[in-house]
Amino acid sequence: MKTLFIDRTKCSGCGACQAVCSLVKRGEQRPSEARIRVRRGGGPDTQYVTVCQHCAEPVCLTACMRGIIDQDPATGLVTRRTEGCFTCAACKVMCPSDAIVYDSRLDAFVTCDLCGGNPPCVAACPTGALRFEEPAGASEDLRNKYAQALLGGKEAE
Amino acid sequence: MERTVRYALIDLQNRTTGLKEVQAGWFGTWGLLLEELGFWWRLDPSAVALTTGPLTGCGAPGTGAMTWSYLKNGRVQNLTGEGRLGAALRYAGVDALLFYGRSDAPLWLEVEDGKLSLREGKPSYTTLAAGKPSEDTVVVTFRPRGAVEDKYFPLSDGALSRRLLEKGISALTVDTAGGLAVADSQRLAALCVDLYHWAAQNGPAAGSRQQPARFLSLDHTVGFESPATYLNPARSPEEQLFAALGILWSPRLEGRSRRADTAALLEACLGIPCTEGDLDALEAHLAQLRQRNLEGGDQ
Repeated sequence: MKTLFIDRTKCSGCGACQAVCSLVKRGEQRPSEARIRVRRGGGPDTQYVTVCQHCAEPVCLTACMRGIIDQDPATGLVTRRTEGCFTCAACKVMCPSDAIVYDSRLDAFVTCDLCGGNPPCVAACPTGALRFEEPAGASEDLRNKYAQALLGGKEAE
Repeated sequence: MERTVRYALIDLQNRTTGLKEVQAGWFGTWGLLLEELGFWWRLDPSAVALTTGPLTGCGAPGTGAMTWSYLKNGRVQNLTGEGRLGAALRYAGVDALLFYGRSDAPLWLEVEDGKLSLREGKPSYTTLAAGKPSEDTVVVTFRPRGAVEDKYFPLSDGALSRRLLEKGISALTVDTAGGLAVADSQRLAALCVDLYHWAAQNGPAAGSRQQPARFLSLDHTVGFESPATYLNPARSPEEQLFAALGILWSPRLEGRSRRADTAALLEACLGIPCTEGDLDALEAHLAQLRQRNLEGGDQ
């Protein structure tokens, strides 16, 4: 299954993905409740983007006390039935990607659902940092890149 | 073309704040050329205003635009800035800020979801950042070399910043979990994707982890190593018109019809018909105001 990957070395933190997500999913411009978030915990020099990684073994699924989070066994897509959410935040606390956001309109915690396989945030990303790819290919590419960066070398050919 | 604009009056002398609502007759009248708002400067010739446009913060590229205005030798000076501040103010329910009066002791302004508070002191960026109520809080500090957002992004030149410092205002923070209602979100989202995608077709936009871009900007970045200097991004009358509306068009969107796209964005945001002809009429109106300003205005 394809999922969203962020090349953090390319991400400029402009917030285009967040803005488009908010419009599509919320029907208004409310970046703080977009399902892909530009995090600015320590200012612009420590900013990063978080979005649901649709983990192979999602901890949010096991943490959910209401059992409203599901994973499609065929595709691996993690979804949730928000009408049953009572906002205990167990999923949010457990999420290793810090990718779970509160939606005040639904009064529920929500995550990226990949917009039916055609996420507009990817088309909107102006730096090409956000990619919609198969995990294996993207993971190898990103690991290689980060290893090179850590070693102080140039990107691998 | 009516829209409701909420502006905050910040009386630095009496240390009071208040919010007022007005109906703006034109899209950009309350955005840039503030000659129409001459009564503000009759109140206090040293007043400084920060205004946003109807597109500020809507999500399209370049919609982090905001404008500072002040009176110099009886004429209004406008400086356009680009960043999170204008958008955050709109999400907090404030379209414009007016600082008037003068405080003997340094003050800083805190905006939290439409609630304004003046606090005593001249805190550093680090102090304000450490006390941020949320990670999305925008911190703007006024220093003699200029207004700086989030430590790195310059929003104005030193002249404007020194005016604010002389008035006793040293910093500004905006924290909000609010949002901006738009008339047609799906159309606006499609327009935004189209514009970003168009820009990306010419290769990746500027910016990286080491050189972050301004909010919703395609080409304005800062480096962490050297202090960035302020350059007014809206100098031509057309750029000023767009800045008044809350958008700065990037050179990366070469080939697009800026007026047609602006009109479409306004339609999607405000839900009222807007054509290129409306923008032409608005430009003529602004040109008239500018001429009156050059001839001495109301002073």
